[in-house]
Amino acid sequence: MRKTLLPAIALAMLAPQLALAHPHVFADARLEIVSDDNGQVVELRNVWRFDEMFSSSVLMDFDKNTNLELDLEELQEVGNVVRESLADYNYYTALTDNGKSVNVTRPDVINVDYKDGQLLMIFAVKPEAPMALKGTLTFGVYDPTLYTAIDFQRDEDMALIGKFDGCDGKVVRPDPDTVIAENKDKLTEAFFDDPTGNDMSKLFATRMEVTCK
Amino acid sequence: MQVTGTCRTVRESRTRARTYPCPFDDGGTRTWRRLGTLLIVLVALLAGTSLAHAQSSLGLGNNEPGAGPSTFVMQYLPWLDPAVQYVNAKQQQFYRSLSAALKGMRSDPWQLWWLIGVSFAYGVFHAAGPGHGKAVISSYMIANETELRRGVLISFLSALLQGGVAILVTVAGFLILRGTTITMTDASKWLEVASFALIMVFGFYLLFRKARTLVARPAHALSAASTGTLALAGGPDLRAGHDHHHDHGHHHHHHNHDHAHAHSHAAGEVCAVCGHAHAPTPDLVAGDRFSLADAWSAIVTVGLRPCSGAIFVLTFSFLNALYLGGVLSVLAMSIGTAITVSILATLAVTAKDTALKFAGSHHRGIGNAIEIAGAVLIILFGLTFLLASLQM
Repeated sequence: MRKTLLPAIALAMLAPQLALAHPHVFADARLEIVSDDNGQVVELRNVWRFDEMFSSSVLMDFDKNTNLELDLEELQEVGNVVRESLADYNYYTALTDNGKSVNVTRPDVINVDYKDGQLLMIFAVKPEAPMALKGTLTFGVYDPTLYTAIDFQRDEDMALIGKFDGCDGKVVRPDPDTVIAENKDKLTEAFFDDPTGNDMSKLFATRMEVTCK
Repeated sequence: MQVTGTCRTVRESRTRARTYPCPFDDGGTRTWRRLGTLLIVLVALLAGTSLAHAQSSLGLGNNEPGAGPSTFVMQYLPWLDPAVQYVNAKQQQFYRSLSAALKGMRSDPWQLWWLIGVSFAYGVFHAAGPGHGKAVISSYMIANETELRRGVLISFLSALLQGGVAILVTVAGFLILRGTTITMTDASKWLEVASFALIMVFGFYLLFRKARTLVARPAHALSAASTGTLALAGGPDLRAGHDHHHDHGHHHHHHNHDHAHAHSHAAGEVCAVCGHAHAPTPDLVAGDRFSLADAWSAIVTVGLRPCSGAIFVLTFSFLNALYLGGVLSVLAMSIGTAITVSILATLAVTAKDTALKFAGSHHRGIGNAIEIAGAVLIILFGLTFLLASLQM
C-alpha cells in the first residue's frame, strides 16, 4: 500500500499540471505553400488573425504614445518582438520531406496590422533545405507550447500555389487517440530524447499532406 | 504550577494542570540531518523535472509555466487523454462564447447575464490547466491536515484574489502604465515571479515546521510530549497572544472535537515561550497544522499571480468601455476557477485519508510521510516555476 499510494498521489497531482496546457491566444490562420516551376517548394506564406481579447492586450502593451491605436512604429515593434521570439520555435512551422524534418529560415519581416480590433500578422518563411516535389511532403503550422492556437477553420485555408504537377494535396486533421495508438513506441523514445515533448506535437497538428509521383 | 525551564505547564481545566517533559531533549542535530536528507531528495526530484517555457512562444503576453504538451502523460497516463481533450475543447468553446458575449454587449447590454454564465463555465474548465493554484493548494491541504471546508474557503479566496489582482493590473495598465516602458505583461510577470518565490518559501516553512515537530515528537508516542512541542512548532502565530483562533481540525481515527476555548489565563499559568496549549488531546496534534496565518499565506502566494486569460478579457472590456461587464465576467470566472480547485483539493485530501485508512496502525508514519511529501511538492512547484519564469 505504502509503496504504491504515495507515487499515485504525487502523480495524480502532477498529471493535470503536465497535461492541461491550454491556449490563451487564438488565431485564424491561412497557409499558402508556394512552388516554383522547377518542382521545388520555395515559400510558405502565413496570415494569422488574432482574437480580439488578445489583440486588445497587445494594443495596451505597445501603445507607447497612448492614442489607443497602434501606429506604424508600434506595429513594427510588435513584428520585431514576434520575429525574435518565434525563431526559437521554428516560426510554428513543422515541415517534413519524406519523413525528415526540415527547418525554415528567419523571415525578413513580420508585417503586423491592427484592423477592427484584431491583430493581423503576415509573413513568409522558406525551407532551409530544398524541398523537391517528390514522395510525401507535409506542412503544418502549430505552436508546440500550446500558447497560441493556430486554427485552420476550413480546408481551403491551406492552399497550394504554383505548379504541383503530379501531386495530390489533402488536409489532414489528426485524431489524437489514433496518433497515440499508432506512435506508442515512438512516444516513449521521444520522451527520453525530448522530455518537453515539443518535437512530438507536430503529430497532432493539422497539416497539408502532399503526395507526388 | 511553574516547573523547570521555560516550558511545561499546561492547564487543562480550572482544576487540573499537567506537567510535561521537555520536547527538545534529543537536541537539534537530528532536525538538521533530516532537513539535509530532505534537501537531497528535493534536488534529485528537481533534476528530474523538466522546465517549461514561461515566456510565451509568441513573445507577446505571458504563458502559464508548466504548460507544454507532455508525451509523458500520453505514454504513462493515456487514460487521462480523453479528459484532457475534452477539457481543452470545452474551454476553447467557452472562451469563444465569452468573447462573442463581450462583443455582443457593445450593442446589447442584456447580454451581461449570458456573459456571466459563460465566464463562470469558462473558469471551471480553464482552471483545469496549470497556473491556478490547484497543485499548491492541494499540496498544502495534504501537508496540513485541515478541514475540507477550510480548503474550499482557501480555494475561493485565492481565486477571488487572483481575479482582483487581474483587475488591479488592468486598471493600473490603463491609468498608470500606458505610455511607460512598463507593460501590463511586465507587471504580471513580476507578480508571477513574486508568487512563485513565495510559494517556495511557504513550502520550506511548512517543511521546516513539520521537521521540527517530528524531531521533537517521537513518531508513535501520542504522549504528553506532543503538547509542548506543538506549541513551539506552531511558530510565532501560535505564540503571538491570547486572541488567536483555535480551529482544531478533526483528526483521523478520532472523534470530532470542536470545543470553544473561551477560558482565560492568569499570568504564570502559561509560560511565555511555549505559548498556549490546552490539553494533550488527539485533536491538538492537528494544532501544528493549521493557523490562519498559514491559510492566508496559501491564499496570497497563489492569488498574487494574475491569469493571462482574465487580463485579456479585462483589457478588451475596458477598451470598449464595458467596465461592469469585464469585472463581473472576471469575478464569475474566479468562482468557476475556485470550484475546480476545491474539487481537486478535496480529491487530494480524500486520497490522503484513504491512504491513512489502508495504512492502519502505521498511520502516523505514513501520515508524516504524506505531509512531508506535500510540503516538498510545494517547494518543487515554487522552485520549478520560479526558474521557468526567470528563464526569459
